[in-house]
Amino acid sequence: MTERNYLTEDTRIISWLFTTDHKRIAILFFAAITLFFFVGGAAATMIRLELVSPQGRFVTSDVYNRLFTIHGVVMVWFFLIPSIPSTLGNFIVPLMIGARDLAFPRLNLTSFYLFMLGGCVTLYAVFAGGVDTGWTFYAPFSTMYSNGHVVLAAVGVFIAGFSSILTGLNFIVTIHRLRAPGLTWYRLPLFLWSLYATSVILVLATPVLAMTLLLVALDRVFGVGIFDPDRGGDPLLFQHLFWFYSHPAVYIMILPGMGVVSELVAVFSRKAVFGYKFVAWSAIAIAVVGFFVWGHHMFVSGQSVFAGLVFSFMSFIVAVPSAIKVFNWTATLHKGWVRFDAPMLYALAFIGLFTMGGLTGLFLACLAYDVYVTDTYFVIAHFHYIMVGGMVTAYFGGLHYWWPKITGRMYPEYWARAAAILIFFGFNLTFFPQFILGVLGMPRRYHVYPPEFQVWHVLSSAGASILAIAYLLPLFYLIWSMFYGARAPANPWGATGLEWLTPSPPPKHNFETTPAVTRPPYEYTLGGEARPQNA
Amino acid sequence: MSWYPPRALVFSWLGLLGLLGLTVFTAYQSLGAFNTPIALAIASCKALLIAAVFMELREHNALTIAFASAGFFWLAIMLWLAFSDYSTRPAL
Amino acid sequence: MPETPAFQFVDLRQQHEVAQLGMWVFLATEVLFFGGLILGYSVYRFMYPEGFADAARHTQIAIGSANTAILLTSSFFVAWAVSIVRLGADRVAAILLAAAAALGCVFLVLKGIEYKVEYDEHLVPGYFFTFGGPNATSAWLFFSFYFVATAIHALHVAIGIMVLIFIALKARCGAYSARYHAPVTVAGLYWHFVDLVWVFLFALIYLPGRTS
Repeated sequence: MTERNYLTEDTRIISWLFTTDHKRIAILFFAAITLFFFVGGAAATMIRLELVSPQGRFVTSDVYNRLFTIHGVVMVWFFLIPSIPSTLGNFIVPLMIGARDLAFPRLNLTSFYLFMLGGCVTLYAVFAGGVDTGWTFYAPFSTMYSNGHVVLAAVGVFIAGFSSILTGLNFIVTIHRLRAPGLTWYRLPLFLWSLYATSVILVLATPVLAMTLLLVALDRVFGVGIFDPDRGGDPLLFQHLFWFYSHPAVYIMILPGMGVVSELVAVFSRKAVFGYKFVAWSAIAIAVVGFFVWGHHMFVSGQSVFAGLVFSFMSFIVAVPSAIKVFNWTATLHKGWVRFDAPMLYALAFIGLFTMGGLTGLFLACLAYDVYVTDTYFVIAHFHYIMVGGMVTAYFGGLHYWWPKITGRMYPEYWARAAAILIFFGFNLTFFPQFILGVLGMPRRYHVYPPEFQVWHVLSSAGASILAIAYLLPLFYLIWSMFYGARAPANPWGATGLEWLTPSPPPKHNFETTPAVTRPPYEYTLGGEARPQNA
Repeated sequence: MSWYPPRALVFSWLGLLGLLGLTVFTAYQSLGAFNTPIALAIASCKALLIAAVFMELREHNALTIAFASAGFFWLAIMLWLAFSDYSTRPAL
Repeated sequence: MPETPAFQFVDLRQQHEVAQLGMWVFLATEVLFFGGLILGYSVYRFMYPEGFADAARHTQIAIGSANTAILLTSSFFVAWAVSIVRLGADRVAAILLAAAAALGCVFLVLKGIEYKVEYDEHLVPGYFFTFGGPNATSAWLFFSFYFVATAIHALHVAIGIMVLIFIALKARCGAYSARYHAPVTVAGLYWHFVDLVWVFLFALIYLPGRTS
């Protein structure tokens, strides 16, 4: 580790609190989202504890409603959506394009403080008694009948939404205009294509959420009645507005993970990603077509059958680019020189688990089948396979992969592999039984259920306890590695990519001289040696 | 003199005021189902003038124009697909 | 007066381009922010065409038209200021920007007067709202949208006024030149957008239902 790097540059607390260095802001986000992960995880723990028994044993129905709402709100807006973009994205994007920082460093810091402000407001709502509407805030329950802290929670998420918008804005402009000389679009690593697509969604979808939450708050405070049937309002208008954002939001919660997987699969197979252009453009396709499918959350809501048909058809279309990615990653592995380091274990887990989640999404896209399984545990299992089995797994993969670059230390490899395997096992034990529960008819958001479902809930909760331990392991060994891990060289994985040209950890302004790019990413010789992009 | 306004700006401004007068005038004419589309069309013309001349889009590259149009394009998607529901609901 | 670009940029030209692109991305988010309201309005107008027309007839078209002309003129001043700042006439630009901000204040004053008139006519949903005839329900919806949309727009105008005043003061102090004037351009883009939103709101709020 060189003596002067972005960590040692200025160690006063005030320099961290007012930093505009994208790397430090990334660290701030890391700490923040880890905190929120534990809050959302605590709610999940209580949910799984409660669901072990068919009668309501530990909590009342009202408290249970608040638990799953808190779990959803915190995990979606305060963990998953910022996870890869605001942490790994903030750290790696400028390094990967050969820039000294993002286009708007001060907006980046503003994004962090908005996130913290929104998070504090939401946490206050949680501890003041919580919200019971579900993370989906459906009207007219949220606007008229709920006695939870709806307005507070809505305000908290509203503020955090601006954090997302600023991050997306920063990435879009940075990727367009701050690329190193010679770094054409088709020489960009796929992580950047995915983050660009994510940023498009962040920028275009989040404002609609902002307006929707504002209308809910106004409705509650002033009785405006926009979604009130008695005043001629339409509750489905809320759902259209909400899902116009929230469906693309789920692509915000998977595309960065796909970007990470592209990087990992290339490095740990010592091969270029098969069908680079297809993988790149499929990210854009997911982002665009993802805006056409929101009504598949509303098949049984009362929207017209024609709209249901259109949204169902579009939902089938949107699966195609995801499938293209899975095929291309698999083809990359074929005849590659595969190494099973911890990041690769996570990448492989992603490919399998995301495929399962994605395929079950096709079940849900079928109008007829969705009528049967909507609002059951089938849906819950589907999106957890994608968001946890997919995105969280990819987040851990990326975290381990770039950990040497970020901290200048190597993590302990055997502990990391053990944790990855334990996570995989715990995850499947937790969520596979939920597919079965859903098909058997167990509805979501219920904590009281018929006794014949209990065996599956017990299996799921057993899995959750394993998963909880498995997620704690990285916390311990990663922190350990920051003090006692082996010092990392500039390029411990022998990867291509401009970020590996800098020392580990990088200096404050990243590059002494801006690299000139002459090669596409992921070029490896037959002997497995990396050809860096600037050589 | 360097502080005079460019002619394009002056004509655009006068054109915009003219369109304002036109749209108010046509609002009072009984044109049946055409009142709304005409009002929106005139508003769109004003918007295009503002965007092209005041916001200088006519001098910018395709990328900037794409960024400027993106919001409207996505809004159109939202309106189009939401109306695929509302316009096909069975009458009560 | 920064004659050197910020450290992450190669030159001032790149910095200026990046600033403009950033503002355009932000304006796209604003289109979708207001777009949510537009969707709501469109849906209810589709469901209650006569009711919305009836309600729209009760808006103050004289004030609305005056406000439109005021905003269009203020936009003209801002565009004028941007064009001459590029030629070095920053003091005149400062005057124009201040004039545009003043027109913005006139807009807000007229809006306030309009709100007062509507309050007196019992057209504020939730505050002694009364609307004669069969369209009371849809009129309530119309005026809910009217107040929410115009209030949010007015908030944007207020922010724009503060930005314009800030830029005008800096221009008067000589902060901008032919070489460096990105903040003026970017502030101008925001103001023009606020004007553009109003153009559409005007068409949707004040013009329907005038033919009966």
